[in-house]
Amino acid sequence: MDEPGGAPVGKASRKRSTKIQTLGIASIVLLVGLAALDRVGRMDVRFFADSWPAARGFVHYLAADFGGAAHWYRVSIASSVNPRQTSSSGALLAGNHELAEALARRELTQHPEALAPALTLAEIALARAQNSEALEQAGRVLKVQADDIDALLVTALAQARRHERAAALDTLKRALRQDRLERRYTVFLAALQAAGELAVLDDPPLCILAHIHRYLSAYDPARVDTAAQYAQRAIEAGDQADDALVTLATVHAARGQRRRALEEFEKAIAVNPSNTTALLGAARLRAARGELAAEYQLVQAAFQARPDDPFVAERMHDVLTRRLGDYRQALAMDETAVAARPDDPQAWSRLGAVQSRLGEHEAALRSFGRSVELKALAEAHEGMGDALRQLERYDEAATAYERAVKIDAYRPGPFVGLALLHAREQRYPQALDAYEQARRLGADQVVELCALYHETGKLSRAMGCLQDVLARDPENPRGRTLMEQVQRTAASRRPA
Amino acid sequence: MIAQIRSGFCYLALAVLGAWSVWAQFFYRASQPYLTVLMAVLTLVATGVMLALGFVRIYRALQRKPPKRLVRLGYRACGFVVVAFTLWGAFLFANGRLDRSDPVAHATEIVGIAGSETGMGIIPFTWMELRPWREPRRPQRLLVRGDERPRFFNGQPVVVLTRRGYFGVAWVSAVEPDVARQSREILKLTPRASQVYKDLIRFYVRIGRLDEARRTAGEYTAQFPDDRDFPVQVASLLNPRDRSNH
Repeated sequence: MDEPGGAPVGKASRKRSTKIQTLGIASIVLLVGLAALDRVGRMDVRFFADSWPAARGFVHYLAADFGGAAHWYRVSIASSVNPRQTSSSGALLAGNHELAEALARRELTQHPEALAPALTLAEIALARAQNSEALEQAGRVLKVQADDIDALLVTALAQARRHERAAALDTLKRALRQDRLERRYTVFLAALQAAGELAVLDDPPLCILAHIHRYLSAYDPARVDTAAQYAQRAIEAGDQADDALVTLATVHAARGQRRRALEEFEKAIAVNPSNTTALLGAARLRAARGELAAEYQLVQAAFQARPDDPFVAERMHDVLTRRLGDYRQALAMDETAVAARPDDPQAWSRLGAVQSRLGEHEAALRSFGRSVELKALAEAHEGMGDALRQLERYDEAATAYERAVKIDAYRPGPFVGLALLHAREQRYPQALDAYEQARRLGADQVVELCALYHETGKLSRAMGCLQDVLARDPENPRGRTLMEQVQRTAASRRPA
Repeated sequence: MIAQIRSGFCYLALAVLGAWSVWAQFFYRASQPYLTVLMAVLTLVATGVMLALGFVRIYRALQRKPPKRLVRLGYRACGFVVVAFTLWGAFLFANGRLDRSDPVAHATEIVGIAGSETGMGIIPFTWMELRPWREPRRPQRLLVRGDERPRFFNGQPVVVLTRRGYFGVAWVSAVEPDVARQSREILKLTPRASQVYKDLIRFYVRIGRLDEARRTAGEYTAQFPDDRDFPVQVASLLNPRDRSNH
């Protein structure tokens, strides 16, 4: 029907309706495009290699064919490296297993204590489905480095293939609780492949799959959804429900839903009161809320459940010393930890640190000494330096600090120790150098450096140093007193 | 067209004023059962609408079309609301900024936080309901900023620091977890937790409860007689405050 003026109303209305539809479709396409871009933008660069096989791998990955994805990514990496490799790990990357095995065995003959060739042999065995051999080789690495993530992952995958599900889950949990990731790309691909293989089994290990996807989420955050789905299915099927609940909790925490995460951790604790991952996870969330008493009780429960677990012992030590300042209880706890694991160098070093804090310097020296015998840890050498300085054995203290610097040149503590020794001997330029180095490395409060600037007449530096200290800690009493002294000295030097 | 674009930018300028008012209401906030929250929400809505209207106006000007009547009407209504709340924001800003009174601490508890965790994470601006600490005993609602939100949860014991206000309108300068209650709880479990004592004393000094700080320092000295450094530090914290109080 036309308007009296002759304008076609129906046509205009249809035109408007078409415009609105076009706008609606364009908006939906834009939103979907943005969501896809966001998803891809969060993925690690390892998914986007510049080759045709890598593109095929990516397509397989997006289609949730993880086995296919791992295969094509392997083809991609093999085509990008020199096939004539001279190291076992390089030959493994190039996909030449025979050469990799031969090189690894030769490397082990030359250096029997080397870990990389053992890990290569473990990976080759895993690829050939020789799971016992993979476990044996990865076990050699874990004997020396109990928390080596690559070895833990290879072990967990081999155990999962052998249907040792409880053991595989325990190993995966040990790998995932650390704040670092694997070093070898080939191990990542093995995990990706396992995610595909295990999912198509008649009786898939749901909880293990949830954990593998949690691991993969470090490279592709969208995998947390898959992890949550597997965890939910595991809970329903009664497959390690406590660990599945922990996975759900970590997924909620990753999404910023801390209340829901805490609820899931508490459910996991209700299912299994000695699940240390759940106890420590809940403790971390309670700590973030400032609930110190709850944090302490949860960590204590974890330590009582597993006093032989170094990860739990370290956390308990941290709560008792740093958060509570209860050094007597820390001493008893560290003595228990050392009794449970007498060959753990970190446990001895922690015991030494507590003894030192309690003024038991001779005992501390013995503990640090035992730690150093087991493994050359920078913190143990630094602790030895501190104990020796307190015992007025200054030359030995300097040697201990220098050893600590040699092992880890980025640790500020030994530089502070050296500076104190230089200052004691009135070697001020060296003391200043050491203090400045400690400050550059992030030493918390170097008020002594400011004092030394003041003593050596560098007033403007002293002022700047103190301003820095007081900006970070306005109530610092030594800093405030020193600032008054520096201001007085500066005023007295000004011409009248 | 130029006049219309200029007018669009006036809308945007008003939206900026509205945003500033929201900021002032969140930083120099007063606690009330409903009013302050309602005013902040209204300001936020009016600012958002004003911003949208500004863009619509500029868009239509570029298309050489006259502004719609509804837009003009909305502009007037929102303009009025934004200007009124900008004055309210300016009042709160001056009331807090010029205030030199000491904070008074009130121990209370969070009853609930509006818009708890959502699928999208934490909402940046929200409000919380607190157990009443003054007469008449009606629940108090307080705006919560995005940076504060992760530290708070339902049922949490907190300390609210209120100040008198330059114009006599009491305002909340900070909300902190109630370290005293938490520390006493942990000290029952581990009486030799020296760091907890230290944190508790510093907390008392920070909120101006100097007598409690002194009493706790006495407990610390009795418990740890070998520590000679910390009592000196406490004295250096307490003495300047004592002098300023006299």
